Amino acid sequence: MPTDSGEHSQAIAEAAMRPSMYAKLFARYDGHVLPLMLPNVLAREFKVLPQSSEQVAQNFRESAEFAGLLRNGILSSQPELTQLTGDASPVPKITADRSDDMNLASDSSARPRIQISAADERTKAFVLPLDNQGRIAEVVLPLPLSSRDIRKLKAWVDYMSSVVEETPGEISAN
Amino acid sequence: MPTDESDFSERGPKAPVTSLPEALELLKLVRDRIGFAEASRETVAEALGHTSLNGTSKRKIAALSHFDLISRSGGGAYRISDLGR
Repeated sequence: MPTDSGEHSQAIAEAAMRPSMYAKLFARYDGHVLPLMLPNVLAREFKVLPQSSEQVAQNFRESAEFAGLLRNGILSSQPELTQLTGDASPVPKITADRSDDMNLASDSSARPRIQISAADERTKAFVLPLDNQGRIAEVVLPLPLSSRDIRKLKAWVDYMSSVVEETPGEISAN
Repeated sequence: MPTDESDFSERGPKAPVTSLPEALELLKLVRDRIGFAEASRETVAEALGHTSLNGTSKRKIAALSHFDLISRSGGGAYRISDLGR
């Protein structure tokens, strides 16, 4: 029986991954964008009855979102850290003023391993794997993004580089 | 519609017929009306608001089982699982 909100969130997340089909979906899409054509995937690859695939996909999305395991369209087998620890800022969140001289969607060359989520029409979420231990950074950017925004982001990254000391197995900020 | 009481799949992995928040609402009914004691499937169906064990009630009970919110004993009785508590 959960004794605090963190354990409650963890229990909800566990329940969300218990159905055998859900477990397979989490294994397949963990850290990735859940496809918009999920009903088709369910029908073709998971043998879901075609007439039921929309409902199954909807139930899965609702369950994952409720458990905090579907954020910005990206599926994660780990519940949101804010629910577990109360940390208000578990991962970097970057925002920038909106402008219109560059569309981020057209620039894909600089981020070959980054997962991209089309969360909505005004923002795009990026998940950057930081290591092979499952640590990630999530960045949500407004669309369209301007070159001025990019310069601001680069300046912030440069600043972070100047204040972060890297030690084996651990990164700490001064 | 589902072809049996438990899922939407003919021969693949199983999926519940309700979402998790819906299943938690069903679990609340079971908890309020039965508590944590063991109960027959018919009793669980009644707790879920059904007068008899039919296809709909079976699917709801199966959904609770899919999410591991209730468990089934060797004798066939149901009770709220540790996860469901």
